[in-house]
Amino acid sequence: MVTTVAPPRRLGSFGWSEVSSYLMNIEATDEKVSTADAAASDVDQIAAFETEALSHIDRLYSAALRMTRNPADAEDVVQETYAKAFQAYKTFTPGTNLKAWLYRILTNTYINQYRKAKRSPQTSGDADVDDWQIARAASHDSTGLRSAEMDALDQTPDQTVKEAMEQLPENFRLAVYLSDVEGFSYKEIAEIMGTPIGTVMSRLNRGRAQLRKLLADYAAERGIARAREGGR
Amino acid sequence: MSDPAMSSHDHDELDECVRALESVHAFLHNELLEADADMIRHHLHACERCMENFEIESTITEMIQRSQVPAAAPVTLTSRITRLSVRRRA
Repeated sequence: MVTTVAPPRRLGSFGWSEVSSYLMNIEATDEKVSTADAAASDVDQIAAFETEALSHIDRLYSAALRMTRNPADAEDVVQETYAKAFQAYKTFTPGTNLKAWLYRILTNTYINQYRKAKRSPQTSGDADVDDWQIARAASHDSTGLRSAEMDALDQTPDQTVKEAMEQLPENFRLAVYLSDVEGFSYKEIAEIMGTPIGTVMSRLNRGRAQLRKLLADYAAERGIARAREGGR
Repeated sequence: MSDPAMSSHDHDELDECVRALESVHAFLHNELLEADADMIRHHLHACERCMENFEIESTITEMIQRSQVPAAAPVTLTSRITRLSVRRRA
């Protein structure tokens, strides 16, 4: 199986190896600095990289748990992610978002190694509805949420929102999660998911529209239930 | 389809509404250019229903964030990965 681990797309601009040689050039002008110190500085850089990478472990584990829905599988995906990240650290461009880079490896690991092995892979959902329908669904003259339902919406239990998220097609859910929970930019999400930005926006819009519909249905049901209670 | 509030919109304003609806997520996620974001802000202040739509979307973002509580990685996993890192350097 071929696994794609974060191709060094951005290396051309300001790569890790360029930084290393830049640092060594500085050190070369200082007579007291030996090549041994330069090597030590490389080791320091790797150590710093690995320490920073490890600081994201809880978020990566949470994301893996959400993808696999199984703690044992989540642990495997995260461990594999770190093994690949440590091996490929030279392809990371310093100054760019390490968390986004790790998420990309995590997502690839999950898609390539775990999801393919599942018996019934989830449909992407991308072909379900087109953007025109989404814009229409959210527009003024459709059955969106009304202000009367806003109170109910705001009081929706977290568990209900969580379950609604789980009902979204996988690609939609991941786009919404990366944007709204992890706060990645559309560009970063495009890199993590390996798709054009337009696809990210489409998945986000569709995912959010489906979520809103599910939450509106819940709020409406709850509104009716409350009205009945009040009528007694 | 026959919403009485719609009759107060003239055609140009409807175009603005469509644009505000289409870009509500990009606006919410700070992905619009400043000039485009200003245009949306301007429209939201002028159009109560688009403002309401924006507030609903903004509330949904908060609800999503509240519902997704991060889990802590098991200590055993963290120590396995730390060993992986240390062994590589040794």
